[in-house]
Amino acid sequence: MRWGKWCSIGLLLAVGVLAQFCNKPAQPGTLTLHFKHTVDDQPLRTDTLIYRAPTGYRYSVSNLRYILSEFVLYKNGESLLYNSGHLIDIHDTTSLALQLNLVPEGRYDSISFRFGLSAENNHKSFLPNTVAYQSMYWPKQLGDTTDPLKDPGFHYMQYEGMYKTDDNALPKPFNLHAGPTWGNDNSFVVTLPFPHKMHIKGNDWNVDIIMDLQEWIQNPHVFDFEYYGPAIMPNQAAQEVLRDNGSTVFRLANLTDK
Amino acid sequence: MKRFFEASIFGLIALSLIITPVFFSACNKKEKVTPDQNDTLPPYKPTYVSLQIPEGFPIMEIPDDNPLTKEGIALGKKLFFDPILSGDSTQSCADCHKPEHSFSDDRRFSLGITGAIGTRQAPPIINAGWMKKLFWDGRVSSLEEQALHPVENPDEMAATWEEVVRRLQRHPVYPKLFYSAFGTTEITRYHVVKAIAQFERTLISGNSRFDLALQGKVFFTPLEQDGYDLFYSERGDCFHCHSGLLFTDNAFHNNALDSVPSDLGLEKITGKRSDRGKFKTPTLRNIERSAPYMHDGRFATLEEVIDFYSEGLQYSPFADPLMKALPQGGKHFTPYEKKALLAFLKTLTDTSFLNNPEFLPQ
Repeated sequence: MRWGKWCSIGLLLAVGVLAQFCNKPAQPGTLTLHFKHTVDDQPLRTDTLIYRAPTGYRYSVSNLRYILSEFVLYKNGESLLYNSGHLIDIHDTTSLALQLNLVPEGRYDSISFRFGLSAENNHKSFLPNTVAYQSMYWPKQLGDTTDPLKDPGFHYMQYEGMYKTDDNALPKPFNLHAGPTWGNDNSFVVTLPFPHKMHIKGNDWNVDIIMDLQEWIQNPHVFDFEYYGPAIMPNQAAQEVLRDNGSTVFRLANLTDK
Repeated sequence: MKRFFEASIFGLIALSLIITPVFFSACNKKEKVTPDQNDTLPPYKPTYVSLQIPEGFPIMEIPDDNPLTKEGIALGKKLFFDPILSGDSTQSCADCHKPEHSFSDDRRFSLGITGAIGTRQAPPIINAGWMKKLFWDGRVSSLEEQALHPVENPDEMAATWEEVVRRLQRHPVYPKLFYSAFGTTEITRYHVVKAIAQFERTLISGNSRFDLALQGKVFFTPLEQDGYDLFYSERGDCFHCHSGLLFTDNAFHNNALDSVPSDLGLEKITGKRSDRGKFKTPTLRNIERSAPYMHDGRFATLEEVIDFYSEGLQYSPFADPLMKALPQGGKHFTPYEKKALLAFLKTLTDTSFLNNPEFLPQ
């Protein structure tokens, strides 16, 4: 009898614990992306002619603004899409972090995002209507000229600086302005595995997304400022060099939870 | 005895707790007039206003602590055109920001009440509600903050805020107008600049021939069309700085005006050498009516401005990389390209704005 009583109590407790476990609500968390910029793995210093291009030129970086979109988190073959865009400007500190909210509980193994905007999303209504975004508009004169009514959308990137071909030369401007030249979709997706699993369970994670600016001009193709000139928006060949080089521009670092 | 002493101390403390708040309350009593105390004032019921933003324009952020009201805008307009803000009551904001010149000055440098000559051209105040940085060097971050400066600048209105507020407070009309706008007759400089900022946010220009052409209501002439296409090409390359529907990126650039800039511009504010000679990109809307041009008004005509970008760039290590033709000294436009650019720029004139009675003195 006593044994039966204890058995019943034990069973009730086990069922209770199990029920508690089963009914426990999922605990979403956040992931904050911190955008950082380097040249040859060293933190970016603007407006100083200290960097060496693969062509041998000295160069400096004055401005860098670019749009990333379609952030996707992956776990066990599932994916979670944040279908929005984000403008990063090295001179606007508020733009250097983006928080992805309500990330469902789980163990995530990678993240992807699109550099620029896909042809489908590259239109003015996809992004906030602010002065900053309007200054990224791509003119229709350089968009799809077969369809003059089509909204050409936005630049993907405005990366600007000065270079000099030798120590005695006067610095000249370069402007790596990437975008939908003549209506071509020159955007591309970057997928980066996390260095370890990101276990979301009601907690807040942080990760650095690092763009190394040297990669835009050296890997796999050498981008020669002198050859392409300072105005590449109408130059699809130059856009394709940037698109190819973009595959190694980004990396992740410092994945941590608070 | 000891008990009596303790009771006395307790009594004194209790008394002081009662008296002190009453005393301070009396000392802090302000001469604020409220409808309860003065029957002549109606209840404070401001009429909130939503601006009509032209199609496609960016979102305008209105500060939470200065919502637009019909009463605030009307007060701001009255103050804008009233010389009461200057030291000797001879100069109003509108003396240098003239409505017929797109709220800029047609003189190269404005004259202050003492005859002092300014060092920069008075910039136009149109579509100012979208500006995040004010003055050519961006030294302030709101319209409210901007309006604080000219009143006390010895080279401009040369007044003191104390005196201006005293005059407004004694004025037969202003206290009631401030009450209608802000619910108080106790005027401060902050109420003054808030009202002026409210009026300035209404100065929206977005109904030019360019806008009508975008909406398909009119067509460009062939010359205007060529100018439009040139403006938005890498050949003309005006659109990177004069971007979006506001025709400004609200950013700062050194546009190669001088090889050695005498006016340091943004550098004076940030202390960064790389900001030497950088000034805020002005809007091109109503540019035909806002001569002279550049931060120092050095160009009297638009033709001179186009000639500068065509042949006049001065090499400087501080020039913006967007000055892509820097090594060649300019774009070297053909005479036809210059005419076309000029024709296009003139499509940005918005006569409905320039002649709007809402923006003119009564």
